[in-house]
Amino acid sequence: MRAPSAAHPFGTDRQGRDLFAAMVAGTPLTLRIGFIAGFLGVGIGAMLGFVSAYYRGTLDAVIRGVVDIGLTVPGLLVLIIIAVSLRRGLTVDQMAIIVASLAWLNPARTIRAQVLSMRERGYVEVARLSGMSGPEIIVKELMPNLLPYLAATLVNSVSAAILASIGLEVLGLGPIDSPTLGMTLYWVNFNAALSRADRDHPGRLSRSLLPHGGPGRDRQPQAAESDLTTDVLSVRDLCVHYDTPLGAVKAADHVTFGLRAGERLGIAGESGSGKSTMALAILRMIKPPGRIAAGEVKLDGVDLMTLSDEEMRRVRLDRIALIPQGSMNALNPVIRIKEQIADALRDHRVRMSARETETRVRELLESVGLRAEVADMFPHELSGGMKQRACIAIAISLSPRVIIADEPTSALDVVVQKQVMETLARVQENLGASVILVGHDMGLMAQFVDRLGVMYAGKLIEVSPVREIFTRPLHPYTRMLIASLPSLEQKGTFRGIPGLIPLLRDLPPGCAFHPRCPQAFDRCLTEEPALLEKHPGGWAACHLT
Amino acid sequence: MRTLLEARSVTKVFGGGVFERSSTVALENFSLAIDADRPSIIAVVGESGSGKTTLARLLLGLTAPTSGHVLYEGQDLQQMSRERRRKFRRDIQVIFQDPYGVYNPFYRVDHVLATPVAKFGLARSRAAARTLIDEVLRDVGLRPEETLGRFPHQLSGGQRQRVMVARALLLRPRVILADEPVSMVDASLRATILGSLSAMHRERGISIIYITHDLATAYQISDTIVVLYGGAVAEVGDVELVVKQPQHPYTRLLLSSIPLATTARTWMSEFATVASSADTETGCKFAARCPSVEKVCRETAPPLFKTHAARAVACYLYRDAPTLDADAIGSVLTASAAASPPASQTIQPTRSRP
Amino acid sequence: MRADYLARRVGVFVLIVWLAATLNFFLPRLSGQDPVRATLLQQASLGGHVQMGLEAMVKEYEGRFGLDKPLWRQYVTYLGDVSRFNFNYSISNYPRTVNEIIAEAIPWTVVLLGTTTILSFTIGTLLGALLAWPGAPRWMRLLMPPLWALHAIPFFLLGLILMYVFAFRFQLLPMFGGYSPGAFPALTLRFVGDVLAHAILPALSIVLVATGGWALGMRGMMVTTMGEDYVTFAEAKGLTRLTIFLRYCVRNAILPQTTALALALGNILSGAVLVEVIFGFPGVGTILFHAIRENDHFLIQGIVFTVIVALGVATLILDVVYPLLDPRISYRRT
Repeated sequence: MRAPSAAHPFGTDRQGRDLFAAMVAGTPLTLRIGFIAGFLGVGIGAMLGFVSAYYRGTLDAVIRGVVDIGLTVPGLLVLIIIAVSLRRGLTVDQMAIIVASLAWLNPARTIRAQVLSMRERGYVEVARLSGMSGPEIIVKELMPNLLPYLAATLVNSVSAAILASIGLEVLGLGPIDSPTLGMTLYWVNFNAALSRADRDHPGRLSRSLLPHGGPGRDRQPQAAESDLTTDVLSVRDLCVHYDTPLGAVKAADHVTFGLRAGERLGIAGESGSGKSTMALAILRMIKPPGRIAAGEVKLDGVDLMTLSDEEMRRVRLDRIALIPQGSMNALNPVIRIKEQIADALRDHRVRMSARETETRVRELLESVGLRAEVADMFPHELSGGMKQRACIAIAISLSPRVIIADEPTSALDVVVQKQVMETLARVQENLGASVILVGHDMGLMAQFVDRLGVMYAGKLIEVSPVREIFTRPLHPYTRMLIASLPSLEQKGTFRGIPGLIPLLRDLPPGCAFHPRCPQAFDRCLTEEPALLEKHPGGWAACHLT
Repeated sequence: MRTLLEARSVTKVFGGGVFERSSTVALENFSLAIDADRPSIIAVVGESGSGKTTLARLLLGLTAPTSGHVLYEGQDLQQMSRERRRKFRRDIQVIFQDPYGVYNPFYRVDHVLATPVAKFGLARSRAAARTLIDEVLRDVGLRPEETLGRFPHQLSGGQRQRVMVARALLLRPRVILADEPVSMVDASLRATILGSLSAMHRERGISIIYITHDLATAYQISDTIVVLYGGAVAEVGDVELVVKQPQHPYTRLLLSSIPLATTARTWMSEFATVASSADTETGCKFAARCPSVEKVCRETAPPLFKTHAARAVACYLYRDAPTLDADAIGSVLTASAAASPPASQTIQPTRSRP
Repeated sequence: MRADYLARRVGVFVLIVWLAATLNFFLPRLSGQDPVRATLLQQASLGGHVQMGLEAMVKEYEGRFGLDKPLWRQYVTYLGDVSRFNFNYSISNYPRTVNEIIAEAIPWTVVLLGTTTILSFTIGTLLGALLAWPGAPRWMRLLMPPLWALHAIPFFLLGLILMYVFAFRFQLLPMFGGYSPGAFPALTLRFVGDVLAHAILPALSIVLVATGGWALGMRGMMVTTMGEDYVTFAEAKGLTRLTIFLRYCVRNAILPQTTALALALGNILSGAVLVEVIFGFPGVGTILFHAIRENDHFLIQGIVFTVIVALGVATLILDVVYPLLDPRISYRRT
């Protein structure tokens, strides 16, 4: 056994075999084991995963059971039992098969999960209805989407197989006659490291193994000037931009409105209109790549944009509360309802004893029509409507001045929606708070709010008292949006708006609505209309009026 | 009456297997029939948990009923030969709720149109296939040159849903099952898609089963309506009758819960209700929430009472009327189709402008 | 619900133990040889100290196993023995029993593996959570590349590198064994210090690698969790950053991390076996290495079975603790 030298860069083992040469000879063998086992593992695993997830039923239950149990057992030890039983005269390929005997477990599990999530997709159903057979769907619809994932699994599987084979070989359970990397390590260990004699000269192993010496747009429409001074909340020229490689996308563009004390203001719009962005911007909760580019939001005369982060944090819930979208899982799934209310109180420095907090939580829950026992429940034990009531209870816990409700009843059934909105109306009246209701349902707006703002492509295009907006809308978009609603009074009264909602990153010049507007004329194509007061209380951004 | 597609006393129970401790009745003793000679638009309205999604899957043969039969041209879907099944697959087409998930992100939009053409041999040549596809796209108000060759993510939700309508149209089906086709589409585009559907009914004689939670759109496009609650029929009949003069307490509650886009503000009541309690196990499913509940409601589920030639209601309030066998539901449905003018003609589909 | 869940878990555990035992019994017999005689004869042919007792041992074993009886009888007897953890004598260390040898090695492994797993899981999870948190100091991001690198290295390779650097090049720490040769095990400060010095390198090679894995896993889960609606709502509630971080983000992100721990135990153990071998650490891994080298069939069987049972127990504990962390679990079917 010799130390590394020019002739033997890694040194030699006790028999004088050059370790560098051993590694050069061993690497392809070890790679061969890794690739055979890796490919076999992914191949078998993928097949079982596909079959198991696609056909489900008993077959799936059996495969899943075997895989789950197989994964719980430490792989190396099972491989040891197998290798010990078979070990005499093991070849490199047999070694690969031994390793592969467990290598399929992990791919089978992960690929099954992937396919399972994919087979729920609509396109599988559509393919079936288009006349495709089961195997055809697997090959043509599922496989292409899984290829990148399969490739990644293969890489993992090969490297895991290499490590497993080296592990076995280090223990002396490899192909004795083949100089794979692990077997080289084993011989070194066997001959040197663990012999008792070597304990007294502990340098040789490392010296022989390791190299010596080192380890190795800019026009601004005129802001609407009104008697904003008496407003609880006044939003002026609020701009939210999303920075993209192609430039800033204006999700909210110079939005200006005021909210009076005790008022219910609606902000309506379709997808991409910027209504939810605006709601989050008022709370200063826009996350990168979005940013509030300009504008002010004054709450009782204080511009929220000038507050420090800590000051802004205390404003949330205490002065402005949010009721999240009804379709969201807005409650922490692992914490009881009462604690989700209590931590809000605690972080706003409400000094209360444990008993007082408990009482307050119960009061809050009862005020939104929930039983007091709900306090001790987890979110998954509540129905959608109950969860939304719990969110309202949290929102009113510090008696805020303004409540922003962002589609609070989306995904709820109409009967439940009515109950939730009634609850919101009642707590609002009790508190004397103002409400901003953000949503797309014009019916809900008509029935709930006092004043309604309509957004289109990031801009507020009309703000009017709700009664007026439904009787004599000022903007063609508002008129057409109302006309597109199905009525229950008479048939054949609803009509869609032709054309498509424009993309924010690719807005038409002039008025963003002009391509869909039946009354558009020259000026609309070039000049962007400003939001102006057309008659007392009625504001619109349109060249027509 | 010759029925095209029929559900006969269908019940579907989920769970209840050897390893499961509880079972749910998703649909109970449900019947429905579509007349082969008289195409119609039937709306099935229900909230979450009403069993409407289960119904859709049963009618498509994607799931087998626990008891009862789903028949196509008088033949049970579960016992069909391969050939018959293939014909069924072609004759009944679906439009799904989610216009995003139905597209395989790997392929261009063309894929969903080209696959049925190839699989059902609808065209002899490439050129013929293209002509066929262009034609159906125009029929739903899309311009082929702006639609084909694009990836799904390059189209809006409204456009994608219209491509799905075009796909259904391509196969010249006899029935289209539309499962919440507009609930994920923006309001301003809904009328356009529903307009295409009723045009298909009007111009091509395709029957449409419109499954939805939205009574207002159901009223707008359908001739007859089935109101589901808790997996059972609450009220069924002519859409004008059911919407204008609802009889079942649930239908009334549902109608009064819809916020109308009018200036007459009558929607909200002064007294906010307490979160409703659970439904009862036996008896009428609606008993726990019903204002007119009686003792018998909690004990035995009510049968359908035929309160009008074109309407039946499952409620003891109408126990004086003759009862109607679930199997005979077709009589109510056809009566209504005859009693009222085809409603769909009043809807004007709008097409996208260039 | 709870009792149901527990019963199912215990059932799986029993099933795994039974499978392990059965595999242990049948696989060696697949080669068509009489396992006892073959091993003993081979041992004898190598010559040496066991030769004298050979015939007695063969008799002893044949009597005990009833090797002339039908296979199923042997199997039943075997299961009976195994269920009492009775693995008979070690062939290479006769007349010591397998149990004695394992009992001697187990404390070493339990302490090494227990400490390193808890340390790496805790440090890694915390590090991963901070790496994903926008409020964490910027320099923490510099830790990412080394964590990636460490994560990719197998335990035993890092062990060799550490051994080379710290024990060979700089001779700061001992290289082999659990304590210095010639030292007598006793509860003296000197001996404890000696043991610790010997344990540092094996422990370090496990901790460094495993920490990287846990940190990367946790970081991924944190990024997902921070995008959840309830975190947005928590911010709208005006909660402090610390509350949001601990009670909303970490509290939820740690759930899959715990599931991963249960799944990873087997791998950790496999890796640790090799680390023990490299460092000659007197734990179960090293015993196993010697047993394989000396063809000590009964010792191998004993170790493998014991380890599988121990792992099963550890997984079972994690499974039972998990519903306490995630209230939804008792409702879910597995």
